[in-house]
Amino acid sequence: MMSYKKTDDRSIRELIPYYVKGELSIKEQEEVKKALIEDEGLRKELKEWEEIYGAFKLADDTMPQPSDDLYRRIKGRIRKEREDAVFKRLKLWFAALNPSPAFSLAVIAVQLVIIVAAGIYITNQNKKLTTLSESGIREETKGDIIKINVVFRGDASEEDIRKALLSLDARIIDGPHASGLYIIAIKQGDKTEDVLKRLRESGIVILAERRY
Amino acid sequence: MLENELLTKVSAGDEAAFQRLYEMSYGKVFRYLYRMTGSKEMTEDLLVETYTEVWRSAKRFRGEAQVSTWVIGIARNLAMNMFRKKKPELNIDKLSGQIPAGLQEFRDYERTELIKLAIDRLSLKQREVIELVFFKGFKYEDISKIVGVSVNTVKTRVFHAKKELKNILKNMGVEKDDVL
Repeated sequence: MMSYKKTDDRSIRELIPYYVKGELSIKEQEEVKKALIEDEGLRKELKEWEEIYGAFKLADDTMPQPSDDLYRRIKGRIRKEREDAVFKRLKLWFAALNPSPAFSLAVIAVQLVIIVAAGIYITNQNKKLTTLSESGIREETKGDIIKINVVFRGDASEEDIRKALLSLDARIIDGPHASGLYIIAIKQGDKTEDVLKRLRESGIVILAERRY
Repeated sequence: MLENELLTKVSAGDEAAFQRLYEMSYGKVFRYLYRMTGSKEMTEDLLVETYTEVWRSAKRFRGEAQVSTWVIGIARNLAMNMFRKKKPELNIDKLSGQIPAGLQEFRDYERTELIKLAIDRLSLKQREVIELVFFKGFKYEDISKIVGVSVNTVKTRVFHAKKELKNILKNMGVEKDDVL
């Protein structure tokens, strides 16, 4: 709704372009129509505006169509601005730290210490050798077992010892000690005395005694 | 959904609302920019710039004008900044060759085409107000907000623009009784 005083010719004149494009209220249209009947100058004004409006419509008709990718371009632009803003904030944050050369060197030193410490840790992990039997022994000693102290003869071969232990279902759980002592384990349910007897009669054992 | 509601959502980072607002208004902005620059490429660059600024500035919209008025205002500021840096090649430079050499023959020439050419020869400020007067739904108050001058100044510019249009047509050889 227009808000001009329409008591004079000039105000009606101002409404004419809107009359031409059909954007006046019914009341205003009536006022303009009435004024046009009475005033030849206004009729001329109306004709002029109609000519101009026609030119604009012609211009619109020959206007090119916007490209299809415009919205995609806008989105791309906004996305880039967001990324730039994040980068800018990080840059400002870093600048706020006001890093001196000493600060930079300290950062490098800390990084070096971390790298060296990690290297040492990894190397030590690799040096710590484990065997399959070691882990097996630990498992078995946790259960109910009978331990036996054994000293093998000096000329007993590894093969003889292995065969003897396998036949008794026994496992070495400790040793050898400097004295030549091994500690072997057999399961609780087995006959201990029988095992001891068989060890002593095997010909490869000097000592076989239950360990308490 | 109303433009104002959409812009509120845009200010909260709602991309769907932004797309809807764009779809509702870009035709008007394109038309305005094209009529100001006469170049599709320049128009599209400015349009991208305009909606990027709409996205950036949505929080600053105070609701003192219609959203479309505000968006056109942004487009205008960007276009004016560009004009200050680089004078655009206006349509008239491209179209002047199309005016019939013997202007006496213009009776056979489309009247509206001549007026269109004459409008292109108006100064930027005059052309702008005439353009905006014929924008759908824009009143003198809206134009004053876009251009940043009083309503009376807008009316004065419209008056002078029309007067200048007559002079241009006269210089083109168009007699008073023929056109306007």
